[in-house]
Amino acid sequence: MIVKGKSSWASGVGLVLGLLSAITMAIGMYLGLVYAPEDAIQGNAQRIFYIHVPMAWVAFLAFGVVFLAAIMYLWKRALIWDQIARSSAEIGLVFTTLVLVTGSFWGRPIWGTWWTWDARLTTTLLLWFIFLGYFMIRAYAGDRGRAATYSAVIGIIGFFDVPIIYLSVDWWRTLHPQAVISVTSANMPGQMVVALMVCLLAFTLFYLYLMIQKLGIERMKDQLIDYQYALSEREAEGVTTA
Amino acid sequence: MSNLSYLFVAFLITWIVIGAYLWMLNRQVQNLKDEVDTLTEESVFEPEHRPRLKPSGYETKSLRD
Amino acid sequence: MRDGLDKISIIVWKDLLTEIRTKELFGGMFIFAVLTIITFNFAFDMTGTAKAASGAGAMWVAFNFAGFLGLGRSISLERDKGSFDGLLLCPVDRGTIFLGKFIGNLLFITLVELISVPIFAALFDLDVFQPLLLLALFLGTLGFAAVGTLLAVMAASTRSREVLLPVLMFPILLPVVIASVRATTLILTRQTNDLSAWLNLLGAYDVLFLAISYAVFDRVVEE
Repeated sequence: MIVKGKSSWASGVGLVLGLLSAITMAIGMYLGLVYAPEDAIQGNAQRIFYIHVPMAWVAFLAFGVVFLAAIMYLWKRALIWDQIARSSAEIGLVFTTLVLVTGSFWGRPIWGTWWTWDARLTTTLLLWFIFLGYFMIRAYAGDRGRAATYSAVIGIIGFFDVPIIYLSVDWWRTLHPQAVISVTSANMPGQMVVALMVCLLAFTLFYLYLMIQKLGIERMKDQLIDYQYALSEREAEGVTTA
Repeated sequence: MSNLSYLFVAFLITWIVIGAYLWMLNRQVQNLKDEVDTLTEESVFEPEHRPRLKPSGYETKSLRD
Repeated sequence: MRDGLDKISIIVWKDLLTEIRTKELFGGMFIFAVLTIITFNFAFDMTGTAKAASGAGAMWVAFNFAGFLGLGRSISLERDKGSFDGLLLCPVDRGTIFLGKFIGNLLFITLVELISVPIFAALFDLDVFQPLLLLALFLGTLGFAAVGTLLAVMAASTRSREVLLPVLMFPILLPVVIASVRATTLILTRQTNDLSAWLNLLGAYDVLFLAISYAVFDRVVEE
């Protein structure tokens, strides 16, 4: 009964987005696993990129949304911005985790190692830790307003920090003699590009779908807290008799 | 057909995690709905005296619990 | 402007006075820093060419840990005694309070560093007395104190603040750690070619994060 009105609109959009992302995802998986040719050097492991790259994009997109919503929250102090920020942060954390895992499964056969302190890898790992800190400070903050403010600060600082982390690790590697491993495969055949583009679209739609779902949940949670508060206020007033 | 096992495991883990996340979201919705039901059923107030459920999130100040 | 500086210096002076009377911070931070340096002396291979690199790393880890200790303590001391609320009630701009606390923390950490560096030099047998090294030390500490003051104020009003502060700070401070350690290593080995790049990075980080911390501090302490 809570979810009347605006939310039925949201669930309609959610349904459409869910269907759209499921269809594009299926097409994307087909293109990536069957249609695109096997990479001459990397073999089948290269196909991990069709999920790895889109998920990395979604992780950074989610982080960007957290940043913008955090600024809006600190400025306007409206809970909706915090709801958006925390929803996006959770999705970002899930996808950052998957980016690290799938990256490792690509790195093992191609680089011969699960992990290397490359700028991109290190930055992603640090991003993961910043997201983690975001949720830790929320958990320990005590009350809702404080959790929202503190996590917003982490979201903003983290966003500015990520490019600096990338730069510093990149310099550290280049100014520090070490075996350089090239990540980029510069000239991809057309079919690979098509597959990657479809997968990018699919995961972006999937992110939007998850955002709508998660945002609905977070809004409902806050609504319930307000409701319980109002209820206890009524009880204190003593309006029990009808 | 080289490195097929790595591809397989990477995709498997990804879809298991995504599936688990979707399942978790679904359960959260169910839990919230149950909570709303118990709240409205167990309320000591007559319907006309119950506080109204307002859409939360647009108020600009005082977010204290 | 003049007025603002006066207010900042009063806040700094208050912190110094508290420390002189309670002696809770400085001694602990200093001993902690020296003990870390001593432990690293055994953890790393201190012979041969890698000495400068390991030494620089050991020094920065020691200072960072001592800094965490000091930051956490300096803010939670105020929170516990209720003096932070008193400070917020003062008719001064919140930004001024931030700058006061920031300079106070910077002062403490710098003091600890200045006393530990000669000991470090003696124990590791490295030529640390170079003006450039002091500059690198100062720039690194500045960034540390800027982000640290803001995060310590947030962490102090949460549960389990001792755990939270390092968890929040380590990832955000990574550029400072990398740049400081690299700059220190280059100075110690007298390879000053790439040095300016690292010092610039440190300077940029300091300016950026000091500005962000100053800007959001008002929101963080708003109750």
